[in-house]
Amino acid sequence: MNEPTPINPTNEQPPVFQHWSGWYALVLGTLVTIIILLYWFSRLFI
Amino acid sequence: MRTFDWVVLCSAIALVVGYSIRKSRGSKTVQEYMLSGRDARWYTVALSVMATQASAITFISTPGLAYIDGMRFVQFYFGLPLAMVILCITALPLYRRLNVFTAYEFLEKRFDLKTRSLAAFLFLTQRSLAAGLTIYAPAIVLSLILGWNVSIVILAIGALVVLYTTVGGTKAVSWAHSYQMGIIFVGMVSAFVVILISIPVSFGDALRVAGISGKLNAIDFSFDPNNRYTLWTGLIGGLFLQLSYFGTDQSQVQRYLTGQSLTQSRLGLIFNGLFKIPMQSAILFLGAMMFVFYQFTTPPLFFNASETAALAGTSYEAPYKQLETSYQNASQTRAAHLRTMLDASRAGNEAALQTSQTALNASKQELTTLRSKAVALLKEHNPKANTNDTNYIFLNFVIQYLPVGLVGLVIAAILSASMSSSSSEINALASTFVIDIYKRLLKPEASETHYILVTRIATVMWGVAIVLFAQFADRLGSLIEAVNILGSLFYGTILGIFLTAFFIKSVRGATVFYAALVAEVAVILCFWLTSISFLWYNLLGCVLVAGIAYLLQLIFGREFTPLDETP
Repeated sequence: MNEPTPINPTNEQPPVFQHWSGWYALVLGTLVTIIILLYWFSRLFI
Repeated sequence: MRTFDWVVLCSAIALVVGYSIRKSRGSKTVQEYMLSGRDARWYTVALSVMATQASAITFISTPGLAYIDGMRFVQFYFGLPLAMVILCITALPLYRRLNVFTAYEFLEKRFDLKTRSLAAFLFLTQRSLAAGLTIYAPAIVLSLILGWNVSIVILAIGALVVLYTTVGGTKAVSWAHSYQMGIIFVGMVSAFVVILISIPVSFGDALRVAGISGKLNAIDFSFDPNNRYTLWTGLIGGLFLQLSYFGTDQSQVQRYLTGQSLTQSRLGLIFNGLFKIPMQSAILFLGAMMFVFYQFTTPPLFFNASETAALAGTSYEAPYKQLETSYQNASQTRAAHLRTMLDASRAGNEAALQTSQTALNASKQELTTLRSKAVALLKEHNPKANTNDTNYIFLNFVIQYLPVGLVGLVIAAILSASMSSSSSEINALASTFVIDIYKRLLKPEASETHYILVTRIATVMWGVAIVLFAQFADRLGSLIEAVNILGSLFYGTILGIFLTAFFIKSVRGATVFYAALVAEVAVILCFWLTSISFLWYNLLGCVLVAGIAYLLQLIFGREFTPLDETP
């Protein structure tokens, strides 16, 4: 087999959120929040 | 170390090794031995993934990095959550559906045998070298504490890891990871609490001292390509490094392939994406607080006691002692200026604040000069002396200031971290060798028992190989950086192959193979000839593979594709 296998999104239902995009948004939102908090924290005590 | 520390240390290690062996006996199929029978829940996957990445180097080197350079190393991990999301969407479902044992199996299905073999070869090279560093790091700890030869300690740790990895396979590795993470958590939290209690000023003042010394600076927006840790190197270069590490490095792929289902594997990776940066921030913050502690307590002039001990009885001993006395005096003066500065700050006395800050800067300058003189003296005595003591800063604090019992616990945590990473690495090296080389190229038809036996033999052989490499790992500066630089030399190329496989459907096996060879040479030349931050190598290797493969395919088309590759 040389052709790539198509990448299909899974139909498995994730826990808590209705779609996996909910979990992905949580991860990315947490990253942005952490960057903002770290920046704020590093400026706070100068 | 005192007797009680030994009791704590030996009990913790015996518990991990004994329990993981007991829980993992009786694997009858290759799938059971290599993928733990695919029965892991999400929290086991998550702990296993985190334990694999969090090596002893993380706990020895990272606080020292924060002590020297502040918290900006945390930016290195900013690409990780992005990588977790991308892998959950792309590689993970594909690996699960194809039911592969190693990531490289997928490459043969998509491209050809030689591309699969090239990627497996690059992995085996890079990972075996990096695994040497993973074992070397905690060996320094024990050699320092016990006064043993570091080579003997490396051998002892290697033997312990090989024992349970060989007997229990991936199941033993996963079981051990859960307990090791528990020990690591308790050990590091204990060390953190002791540091906070030991600082002789309030927590608010400690934060202020760390802040004005630049130790809390975590975010750097500059675009300088030679600056190793910035927001951009972390988000872009780090993304490619983490994508490559988690998506194509068998030591990680094998961890999440043990998940019961796609959902369990996905949740394991998502958990890692959520908690990795807070965990690293906490370890770096511990280093920043250790820096504050040493602003009020005189630190050693040089943290690596074995190098300074070598001066004893030589003509360098007396001048070094003089430097130590001057350093102690200067350090006490600095502490006094710091207290004056904090008092002036609280009272809102601007004039006193300015004066104390000027005096403080002068003290810092004097301390830096004294330390430079000490390093020069060590170098003069022994030109081959290791003058980078970053890896000894945290250990020195542990040995000097932690109470009895906790020293044993923190050493157990560091050993656990080393064992957790090393076991994953040896496990993955053996699996890749057996699945991608032995079974595919040498002996395709054999019984399950035969392959399990060969995997066990391969585990021992790779254990021996990385122990040998660990003997030469002591000249590489900060170990955590050395590991990441080494990884970055190969990861970009491997990731390029995989991303081409996923996203550029027109590219065939021959073109990606030659593109990968060219890209790897270019990355190594870049390392030798330029001072570009190593995180960019990941992007460079990846873009070169994809770009060159695409162009070759475009120019030569099907003529470039050998006959046996026709779809």
